[in-house]
Amino acid sequence: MGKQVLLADDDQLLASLINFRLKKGGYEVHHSVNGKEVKEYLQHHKPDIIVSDIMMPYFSGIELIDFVRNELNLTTPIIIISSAGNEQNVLSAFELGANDFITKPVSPTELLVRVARELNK
Amino acid sequence: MIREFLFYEDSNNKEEKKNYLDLKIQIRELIKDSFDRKILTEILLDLRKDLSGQSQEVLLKLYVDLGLHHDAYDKLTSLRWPTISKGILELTAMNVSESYGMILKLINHRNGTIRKQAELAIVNLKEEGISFFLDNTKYKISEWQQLKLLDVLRHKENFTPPQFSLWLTSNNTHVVLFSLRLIKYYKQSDAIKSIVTLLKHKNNSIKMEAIDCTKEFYVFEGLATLKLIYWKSNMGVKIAILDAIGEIGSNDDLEFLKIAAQKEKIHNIKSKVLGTINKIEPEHYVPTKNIQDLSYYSKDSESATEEELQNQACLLEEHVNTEPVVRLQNEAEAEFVGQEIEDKIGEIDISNSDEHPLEVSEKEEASVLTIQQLEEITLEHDQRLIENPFVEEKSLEQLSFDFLPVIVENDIQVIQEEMMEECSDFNIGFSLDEDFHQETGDSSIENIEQVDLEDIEAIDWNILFNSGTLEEKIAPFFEKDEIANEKVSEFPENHNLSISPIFLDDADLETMVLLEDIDDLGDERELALLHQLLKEESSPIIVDRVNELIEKFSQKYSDDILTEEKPFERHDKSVFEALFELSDRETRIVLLNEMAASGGAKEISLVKRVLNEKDQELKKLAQIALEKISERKSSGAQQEFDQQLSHLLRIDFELTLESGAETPQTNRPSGGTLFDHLCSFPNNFYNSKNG
Repeated sequence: MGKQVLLADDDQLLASLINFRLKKGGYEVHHSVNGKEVKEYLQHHKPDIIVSDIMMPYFSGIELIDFVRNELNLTTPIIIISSAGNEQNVLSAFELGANDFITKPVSPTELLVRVARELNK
Repeated sequence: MIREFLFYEDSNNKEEKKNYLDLKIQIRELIKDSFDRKILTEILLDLRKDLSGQSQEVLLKLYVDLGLHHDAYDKLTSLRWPTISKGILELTAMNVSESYGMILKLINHRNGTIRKQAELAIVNLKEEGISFFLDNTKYKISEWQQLKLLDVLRHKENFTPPQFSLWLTSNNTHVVLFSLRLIKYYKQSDAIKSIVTLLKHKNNSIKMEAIDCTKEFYVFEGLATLKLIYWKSNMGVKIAILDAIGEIGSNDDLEFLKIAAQKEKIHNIKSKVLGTINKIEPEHYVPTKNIQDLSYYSKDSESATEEELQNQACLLEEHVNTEPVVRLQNEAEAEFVGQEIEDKIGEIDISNSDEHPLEVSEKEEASVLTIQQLEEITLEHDQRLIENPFVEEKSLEQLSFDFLPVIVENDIQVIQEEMMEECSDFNIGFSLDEDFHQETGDSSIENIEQVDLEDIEAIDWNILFNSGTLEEKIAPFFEKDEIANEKVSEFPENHNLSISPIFLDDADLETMVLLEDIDDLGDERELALLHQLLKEESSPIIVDRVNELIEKFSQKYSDDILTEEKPFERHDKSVFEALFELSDRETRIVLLNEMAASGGAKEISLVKRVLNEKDQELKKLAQIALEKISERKSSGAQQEFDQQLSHLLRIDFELTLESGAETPQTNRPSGGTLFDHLCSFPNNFYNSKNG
């Protein structure tokens, strides 16, 4: 059984591509379209890695990091997908405990490499 | 389906390859339908923004492989400019380099949007696009467009910029300006001669850009040209020039800058000049005002001699008193102020007057005048005026300026003489009109009685405080005749002048307040109430006040005093009257029509008054109204109407709760109002209609 990846992104098209790429790379991917679903999923599951967009409905990526680190007290690696020029959000994400970030436009291959690197640490 | 295409790898197994081929066939079948083709194009365009790297390249290749770019080519030939624009955008986004030739033709399109899209497209698609664009564009390149083109060039991978100095000779000034900016951005410093020449360009934007380039590339050869063009440039260009000189200038340019500092009057430029000077030679300007000489600090203060100390003390003490202080003293004799000050002015050395110019010396004593001397002066003046009431013209030489203190460094007398010479042409040329005296008759001046000052002094002012009648007290101050003629009004002995406050009780106070309100807001309709109050009230103050109000309202409407028995009957006056008086002509026409339609006996007097007016139209309408009112009156319909109206207005019943009266039916065939209809709808029907 492959490692579990929680993919949180409201862009269905991009998320399906990333999902496909990660699955092809041997990971089990669960896709959530908004922060609410992410929260509910995390109450009952513990993924090996979280890949999240910063801008999401209900619950942003920053809040997700805070939730995972402070409320759930998990050390799960978190990779943030941010838009180019969103430096402030990236800095906040790192301060709260994100492990890595990747800017849009996303190269799914590059993302795969980063996921593998975080999981191998 | 798309992701299979995007992430297909040659190293996949056979099954995956077969799957891939099947998908290819499937997709080609799909794109035969134009709608599906559109959807696919939109998806690919959307993904293009989100993907980068290898995935993006595969995506772009897929777009071309599937032939979706042909749809974009068709759009380029459309007659509608939004379609053309969309086509250009699609081809640019999907990086279809084949479309370069087709888009080239559109860079001089008459439509601005297409033109701008085409410019961005050719710069994006091929490296030589920027050269073609700069060569062939005939239109102006806006600032925004320049920024966008620069942004495209900046993000172009492996882009080798051409020598933009080639376009500095272009006929299109916007191309020249854009080229300068590109030269500056790409740091192409090989076009120095052209840049220096462009410093003299007529266009200020190009000039400023050339100045920027001069500064950026340290073109020292341009300094002479900068100084040359400085004087005829506007403020912005001047500041740019000064900035450049500050950057690349040297001490040789200080002379020029000093001249500029002297000549410039605008503060911004002047301060920039000074800043530039300080930039070239730091601390060139140091504070100089109110700075002590070195000699001041050269001698030690402890070793100063007594003489020097005294001199310093004298310098502090000797000052000029600008205003003579006149204090009246009854007994002491003093010198005349003006002469004394003049003498003092001559004595004082005011070379150090800037130290403490306003302090008064303790040595100088203010001069005083006695009352006697003042009185003499006044008398002399009065006598002169009486003898000769007209002001004589005096030449400046006759006027003495001795009273004016003059603070100068040199001898005062010399200065005064100089002033006199300078002002010799100045004549105070005014005088009273010769006829003035004749017009006004004997001037009051002539009638002034000469009061003997000795008499005034002889008056014993203590008399006023002695006992006695008023006449006895004031007798010494007036002649007997005056006293005899004056009648001193005596106060009547019986007059009851009480000055104690009047306190009303609460009820009376409320009544007084009510009366004040009636005075402010009431009219003749309050007369009945006032009469009633007159009967009931006993307080004289209230009675007086009520009487006043009755008189006031009665005067206004003297023929309409209401009796006590019918307090609520209205005065027989038309309601139109007040409106008619305040209205303009158009409104009066409307009122007359209304009177004709519904007027009664009360309107007759008003209508008759209108008949006497000059306006023919109003007269005509008044005549018609009068006829109609008369008809109604004679028929008795008006009387019935009035009776009905008075009956309606009589409130002699009590309201009681009864069952609801039937509401009158409207003209609607279904009966009832719209609101009733809506209320009668069942809820289910309403919900079903509105989802």
